[in-house]
Amino acid sequence: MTDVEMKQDDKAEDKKSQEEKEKATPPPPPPSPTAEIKSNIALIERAVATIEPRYTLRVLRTLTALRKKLDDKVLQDAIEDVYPKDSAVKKALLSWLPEASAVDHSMDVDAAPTQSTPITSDPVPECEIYLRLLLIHHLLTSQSTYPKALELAQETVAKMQVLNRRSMDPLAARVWYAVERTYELAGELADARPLFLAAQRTASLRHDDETQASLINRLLRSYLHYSLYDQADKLVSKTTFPASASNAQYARYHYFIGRIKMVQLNYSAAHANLQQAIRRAPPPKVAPGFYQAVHKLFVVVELLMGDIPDRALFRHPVLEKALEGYFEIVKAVRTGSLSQFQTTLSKHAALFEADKTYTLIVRLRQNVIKTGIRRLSLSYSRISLRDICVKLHLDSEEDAEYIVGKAIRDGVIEGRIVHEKGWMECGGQKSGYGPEVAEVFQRRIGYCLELHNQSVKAMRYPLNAHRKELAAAEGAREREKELAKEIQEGGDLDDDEPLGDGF
Amino acid sequence: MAEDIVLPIPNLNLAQHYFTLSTPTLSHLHDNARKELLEGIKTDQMAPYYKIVTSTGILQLDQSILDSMEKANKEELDKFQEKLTEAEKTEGETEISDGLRARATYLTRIGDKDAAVEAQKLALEKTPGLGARIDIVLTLVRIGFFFGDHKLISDNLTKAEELIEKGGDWDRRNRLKVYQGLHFLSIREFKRGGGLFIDALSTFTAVELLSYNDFVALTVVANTLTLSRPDLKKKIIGAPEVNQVLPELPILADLAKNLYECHYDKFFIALATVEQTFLIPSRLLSPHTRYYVREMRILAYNQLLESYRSLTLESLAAAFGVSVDFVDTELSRFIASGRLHCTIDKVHGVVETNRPPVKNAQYETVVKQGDVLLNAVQRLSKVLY
Repeated sequence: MTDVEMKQDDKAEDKKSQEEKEKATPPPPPPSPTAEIKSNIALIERAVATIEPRYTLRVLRTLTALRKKLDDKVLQDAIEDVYPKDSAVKKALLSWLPEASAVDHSMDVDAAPTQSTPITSDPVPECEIYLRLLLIHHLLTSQSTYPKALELAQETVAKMQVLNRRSMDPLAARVWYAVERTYELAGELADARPLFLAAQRTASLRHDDETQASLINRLLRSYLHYSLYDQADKLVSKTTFPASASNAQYARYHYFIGRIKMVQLNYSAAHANLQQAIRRAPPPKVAPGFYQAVHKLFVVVELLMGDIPDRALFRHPVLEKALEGYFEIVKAVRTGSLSQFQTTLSKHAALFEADKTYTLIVRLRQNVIKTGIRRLSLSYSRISLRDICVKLHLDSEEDAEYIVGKAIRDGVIEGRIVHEKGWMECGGQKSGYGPEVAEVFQRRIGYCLELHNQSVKAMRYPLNAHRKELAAAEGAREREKELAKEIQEGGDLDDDEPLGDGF
Repeated sequence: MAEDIVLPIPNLNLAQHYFTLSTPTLSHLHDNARKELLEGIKTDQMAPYYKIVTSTGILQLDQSILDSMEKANKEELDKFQEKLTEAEKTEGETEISDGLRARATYLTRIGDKDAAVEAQKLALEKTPGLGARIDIVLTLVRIGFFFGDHKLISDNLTKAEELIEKGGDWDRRNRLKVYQGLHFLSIREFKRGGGLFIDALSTFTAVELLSYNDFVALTVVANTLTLSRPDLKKKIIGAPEVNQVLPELPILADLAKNLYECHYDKFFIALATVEQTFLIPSRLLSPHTRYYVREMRILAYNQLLESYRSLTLESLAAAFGVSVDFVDTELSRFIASGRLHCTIDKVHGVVETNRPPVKNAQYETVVKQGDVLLNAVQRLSKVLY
């Protein structure tokens, strides 16, 4: 995952240079980043005022796009405009930006009073945190400012904890993400763990679901980064992942669980979790890194379960290149050739090491044989152990018997060994349309119902909206009554006037 | 229309020879191909193409030939330019477009890809008649075929289709079918390509693209694979157009007839011969050779197994004229990948067929497509949050 994020950063830089070019040309892009930040601040204020976290969420949704457009100038302008002239917060915030652009600064100050005279008091503290979040993201774009970012992150966290406001929770969740990135880029991810653990405890006490979800993922990631699967597993078993977490957090969570389960040899659980992660993930074009990372594991799990992943998967434009090495492994497993598997493994060893899938792929060696057996079990209703030996290049019939026995025991194939006669019978024609069909459908129905319930929960009913409707209905009834009256009376009084108006 | 006969430019035979020469396994055909290629280049004065060919080391560069051809090219082009300027000065739209077209045609003939595409596009803009415009687009498709440029082909095929929808005559309509069919064959869409070829069988005129015999051969190859047995009889074996040519193509006749008449041993021999003498040397079909041969074998196995509930491996092997081991490995491979529906009892040497219930397949599609739908719904639900 890390490599892709780096790529994103690169892209961000590209974008920025593009942005600068665009700025040079007369027509600037319609909403300038500064304006965007300002409107976002307004939204946050509204969210705090109306106690509606939905507005904050809307702000955060633009974060990724906005992040790419940030630079010193934009942030400076935004801070200048949002805060009154001699605000302590403003000074504190501005101190994080380099002094190099001091010239612009003074010019802006001249211009500022005319524009923003109405601002007299500081906006809500949420805005400060939001700006800090932007600052951290900005400082993370270049290597030289990492220590600064780290300092700022620590300070922000401290501030957040002191403020302790519920309306800040969605923002806090994002800040934690930024904090983690900071620690990781500074190479001190392990140091952050106690901080996260403490924060997680507080968050769960306060029923702060967003932050909790974010922190659990942060912790899992940090454990898995150092391959501490045991601790990660304990964390998972001791915590409950908040049900109201956002899709993105859920996708991450499922991905981490998938990884843990995979290492613990619980392949079917891993498979289910990874599938969930894929389902929850944003579309591949938006977050290619996550999509690739999940699919890498997914392919390996499918192989470990004795299935062969779909060929079309490897033609997917986002995945094609990233999964190249895995595709070769799949080919080797599919043909059941150990030698080909071995050469591919050594050829792509570095890649697999980097993806942390090497140890998993080494496990596949058994699977190459298993896949061979599975194929045999599909093709043959009865086959002698001798033939199995020949077909799979095994040493002796006893070997074959053990391997087949294990495969049957593991549920890879259905069948039995007739020891006296020395052959394997592959159990019944799997009709495929048996009792498990109901189960498969039930799982999907359950999923749909769950989704429905969640959607209903997520619907919003503005306060007192129904009263308005009632009033409207009342008014309509009143009008109707009047109308009826008029018709009755009007009919007597002036016959010549058409009644058309009433109808 | 100035020219009712569409000239065979660029000469697609040359592309075939070029392919032959660049494939080392076809060395027995090299001598002939080299001669023909050089001959063709000289007749059409294809200096730019000659340069491409020699740069890949297929032909030895002969500077004198190149110089003379380049000189001739230049003279011709100058002449066209002269005519064109004259036409622009004194004459009307028709003459200008004629001039442009003549120049584009010449550029196409000498195999200067980029210049030719440019010139043809320019001519396309300036040409008023629908028929002539369709001709130009089809020429662009031919350039695409010549240089193996799939994007150029597919872009222009859609364009041609649009133009013909607007009101092309029958001749051009049929011609387009052949072009489309050929394109489909080259991208392994045998079913669609074969269908189009059958439609165009009785009205084939697109000799500028491929000769009639080649056309019939491709029709037989594509449709033997995709048509069901009754259709094969009706549309291929019984078709007079095919019967007329088939004596000249005895291997293909063997292929289709033996498959239809269930002489599987002869069919296998014919298939192997077709692979060696027809598919591998063909520029369009060689990438699909393995696929084609495999699919044909599956077709034959299926056709045989359809008639039996169970049969011994020996009789199966005898029917196909191969060894028991070969049949065994083949069948086990195809069964495991779900292409054949039977199981082998290796101990008793019996193959038992089982019909896959339709319900099962439907169930699998429901689950598969349902999952895609669920993913989409999940994404939609985000709108609410």
